[in-house]
Amino acid sequence: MRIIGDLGPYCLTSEGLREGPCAREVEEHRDLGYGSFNFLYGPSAGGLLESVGFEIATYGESIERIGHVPYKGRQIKITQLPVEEALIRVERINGAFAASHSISFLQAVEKAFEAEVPYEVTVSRMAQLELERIRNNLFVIQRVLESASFLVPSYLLLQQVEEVNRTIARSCGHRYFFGANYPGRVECEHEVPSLKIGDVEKILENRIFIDRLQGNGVIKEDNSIGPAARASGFRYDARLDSDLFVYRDFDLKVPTQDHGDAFSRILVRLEEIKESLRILQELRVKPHTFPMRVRDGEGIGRVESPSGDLAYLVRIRNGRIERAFLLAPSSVNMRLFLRSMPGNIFTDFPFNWESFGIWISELEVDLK
Amino acid sequence: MNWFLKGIRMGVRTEKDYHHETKWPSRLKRAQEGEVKCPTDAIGEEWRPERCIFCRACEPLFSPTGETLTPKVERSDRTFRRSFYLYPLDAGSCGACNLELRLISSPQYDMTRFGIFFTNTPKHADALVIMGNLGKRMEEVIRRAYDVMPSPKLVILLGTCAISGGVTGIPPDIRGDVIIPGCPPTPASILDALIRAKGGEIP
Amino acid sequence: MIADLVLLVYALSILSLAGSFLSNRISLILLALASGVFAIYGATNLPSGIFSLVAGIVWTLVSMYSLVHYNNKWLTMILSGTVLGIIAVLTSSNYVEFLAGWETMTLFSFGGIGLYKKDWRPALTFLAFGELSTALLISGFALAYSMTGSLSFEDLSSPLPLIITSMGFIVKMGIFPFLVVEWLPIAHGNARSDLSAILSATMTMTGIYGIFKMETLSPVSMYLGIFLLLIGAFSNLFGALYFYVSDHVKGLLAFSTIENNGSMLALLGSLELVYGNLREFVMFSLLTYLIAHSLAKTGLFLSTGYIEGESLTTAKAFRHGLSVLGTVLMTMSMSGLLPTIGGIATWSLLESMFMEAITLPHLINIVPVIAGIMIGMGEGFATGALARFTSYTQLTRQKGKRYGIILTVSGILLLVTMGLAYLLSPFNTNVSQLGVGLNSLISSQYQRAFGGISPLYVLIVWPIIALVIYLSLGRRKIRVVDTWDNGSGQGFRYTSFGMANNLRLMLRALLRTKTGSLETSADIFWQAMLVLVRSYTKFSRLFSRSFMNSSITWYMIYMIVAIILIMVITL
Repeated sequence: MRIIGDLGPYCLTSEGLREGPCAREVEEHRDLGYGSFNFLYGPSAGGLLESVGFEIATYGESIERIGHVPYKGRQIKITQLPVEEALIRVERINGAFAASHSISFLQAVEKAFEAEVPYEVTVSRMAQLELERIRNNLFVIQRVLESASFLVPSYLLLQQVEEVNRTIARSCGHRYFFGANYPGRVECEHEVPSLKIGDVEKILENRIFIDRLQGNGVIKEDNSIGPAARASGFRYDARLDSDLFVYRDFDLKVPTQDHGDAFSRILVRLEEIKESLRILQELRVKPHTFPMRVRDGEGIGRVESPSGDLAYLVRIRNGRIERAFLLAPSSVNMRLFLRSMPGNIFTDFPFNWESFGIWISELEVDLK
Repeated sequence: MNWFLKGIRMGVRTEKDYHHETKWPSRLKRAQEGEVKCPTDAIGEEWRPERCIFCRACEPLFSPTGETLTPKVERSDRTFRRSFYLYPLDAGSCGACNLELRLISSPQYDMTRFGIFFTNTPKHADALVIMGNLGKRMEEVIRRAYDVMPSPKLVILLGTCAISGGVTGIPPDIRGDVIIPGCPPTPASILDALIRAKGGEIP
Repeated sequence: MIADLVLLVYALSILSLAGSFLSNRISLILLALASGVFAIYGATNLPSGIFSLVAGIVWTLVSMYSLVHYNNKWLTMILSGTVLGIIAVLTSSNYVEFLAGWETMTLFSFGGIGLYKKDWRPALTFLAFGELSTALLISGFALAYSMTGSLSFEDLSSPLPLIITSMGFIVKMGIFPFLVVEWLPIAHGNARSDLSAILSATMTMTGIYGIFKMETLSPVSMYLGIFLLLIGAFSNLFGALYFYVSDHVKGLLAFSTIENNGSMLALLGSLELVYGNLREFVMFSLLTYLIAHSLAKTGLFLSTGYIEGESLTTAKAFRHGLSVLGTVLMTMSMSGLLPTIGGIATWSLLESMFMEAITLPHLINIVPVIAGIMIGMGEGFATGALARFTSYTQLTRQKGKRYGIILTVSGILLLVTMGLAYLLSPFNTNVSQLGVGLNSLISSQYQRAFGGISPLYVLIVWPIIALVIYLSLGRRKIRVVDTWDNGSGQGFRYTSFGMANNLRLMLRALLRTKTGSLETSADIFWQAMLVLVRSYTKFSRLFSRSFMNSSITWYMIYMIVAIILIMVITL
């Protein structure tokens, strides 16, 4: 059993919910003494894709302690809404992970409705998740390259990100899967992006680039998820646990690395792109509808988003959402990031930060 | 690895006409008569793209044309025709607008050929690109960024959340000189808007 | 005439010392007079009178400053006594006078350091090293006496006395290996600003003077030259490193003193290695460096008098247009920027290294190359450190009340003394002007011309260009906005300690950085030296219990008796 993270008042593990929040070590705050001061990075800086603040305790250059200061603080109301309307909002919690969010949410709803999901729908959803993973992992690597001012490979990757976005648009009608999934319906056609992964791999031969990532932000923690866990040797992946998908039919390989640093996370993501592309080529996707009977109930949906486990706990009464909780992968990754940062210096920050693939939009969201 | 040679070998990836068909978001047209239940009141007497989140709830009464959405440019400035520096400011977005804005620098679109660049501080910016709903503590940040910008300056509202709030919150309290509808707007419509805001011609 | 001037200086400074019992004000005015006359004495006696000229100017500034700001009889007496000691050193004609002056200045400044903080630990550190240096001097001088049979300064047949006394002088200057124990920063950092200025600007100068004097008496020793050149350059680099990482308002200036003394020591070493034109140029370099360092350091130490607090990070300070002007000029000079005298000094120092590398015999010419590299790096770190000092004491501070005329004067002196450099420059006529106008090139040459700079040209053209730009573009339209602090509205905070931390982290092994400690220091050496200081403390406690009762009165009596004895011996 592994601990995944807090889902509302519960702790989600690989074997189901447990009462109360997940047990976690309490971090002791030693007094930093003379010469230390707090430095606020953010909320709106050129190096940050989204608005977020970081309070860094430092002696200058060094990062002794770091805390997250929320600025976006989004509030999205989905309770008391019918499933279709709630879904419109769930898609817009995190645009980059919209497929993961909507599929996980729909799975929770289907569990609550005790609906049977046809094989075609499951396969279509897998295709969406893999496309999203490819897009996001390419983008994460691009962000790291941009931080290092490696502009030629960075633009090369942006080109591939755009290529994936266009593929998604051709497949599902929208570049971010908005409106692709409905209760009882899925819209996507079969499309595979034509990517040049070889080009991406060659970037990682650059010694200067590798030096900025190796040994940066080492974190090896049992209670971790996604690429961060796999980069430190833990073979954790929601796709292996879940029986709602059929990854076993496709002989899913989960790449791992041992060092737990930013470089390992990038390597894991790169391997994942290749694996996702392979699975995508084997899947056969077409639009499909299936009947669903509305009833009262509660269910959990969990998928492997590009940055790790993403889960919804949804309770439905009279066809409306009574309560809903979200376990965003970014909240777990943010905790890991904050723990991995002390001991490094300011210039390490962007590389380590981007390597986790954290989205503030889903992290600072308050689902009402 | 010689990136220079590699770049030459790759050839030109930039598209002369960067517009291409995307169903959602694109210009919608009424296909059938009937009552539509729109979550953002984008459909009244006529369809208002700046309120639309392209959720497909109006299908099949409305159908997408696949044509790039036309941005609303209320003010443009020829001063920026050679160089136009943007400072992106995320007020509380879902992240999709941020990503689409970044993609206008991808080789397919290549914003720099139109003299459009990103800058890391509003002090160097000609336009403030605001994305997303108004976040909890973002009001002061937006005001500060706008204050430190040198004149002349433009405010660009990117995406329905920043323009009218959409379904996820309220829009930031600032008037936009350029309004780019879409949820999120496609890179093509963003680029169209920027070119027109700097007083240029869309290819 | 000259002898009369010296007598007048002695008379005035002894009167000043005596007057301190009556009135603080009278004593300081007399001290200023004595200093002024001493400066004139130096000016009539160029180029070797530079030492006296510089010392005279420094003391005049310091006594003016003390007159305006302080009212403490004891510390004024200390000031007069220290100055008297240095005068004795600089005007001595024999070993005994020299030693008498040396001991006088050491004892008085010991008292000054202890009295100011009411903490005798730093003072005892100072005294321990002062006495170590005295002991080395006595042995060196005794050796010289045994050679010549005379106590007066006469030519020596062996370099041995020079070598031994050089070690003594090096101790006093806080140079490596005594640099690592930080005795000089600890001592100079714990004195009142005016005494700190005297200690750093003129007392360490007596060390330079001592070696210089002994070198003129002794035969050339190449090995000593190489040794001095290398440890000078090494001290320059390490002084600058510690200068960069130190956060103690005065302590960091004291490290800067070590850095500058290192440069001058390297030049003293060079004097032993070169001859002819090049020797003249090295002399020129030494003298300009001396002027640049002493004047700028005086001003910088006096500027610390306006700062509340000891740590640069937490200190409270204000700025005012005049003080900013003065401090910026001093910073420019110390950073080696033209048109200040410091620019000429740094240039000529590096030029000396270049030319030595060309002219010295094979293999030995590696020494000035290595030294030049270390000095170059040291100057770089020093510039960073000075920028930090000026920023956190003046530039980034809020406007405050009007003060700092004395700082402006010190700063402007660094421009004025540029003229002195023209006077001292050994060859300023027979080189081509390299396209520089005003016929104002200071040139460097060995057998042939090597290079040149023109501070006067910079001084004149610089404002003209600024004026032309101003007139042609007109008044700029300026809109003042807040700093862009990423929109947080909290402003950017970055401390002085933080700015230096990059070096602490990079040179973690060398500087033995410990997080959370006040100063970074070379622990091993410091521990060893603490043992030495502690045993000295034990000894002096025993001594004072038996003879001095550790009361101020007895200490005064001891000092007066010492002076009378010294006077008797001298006369």
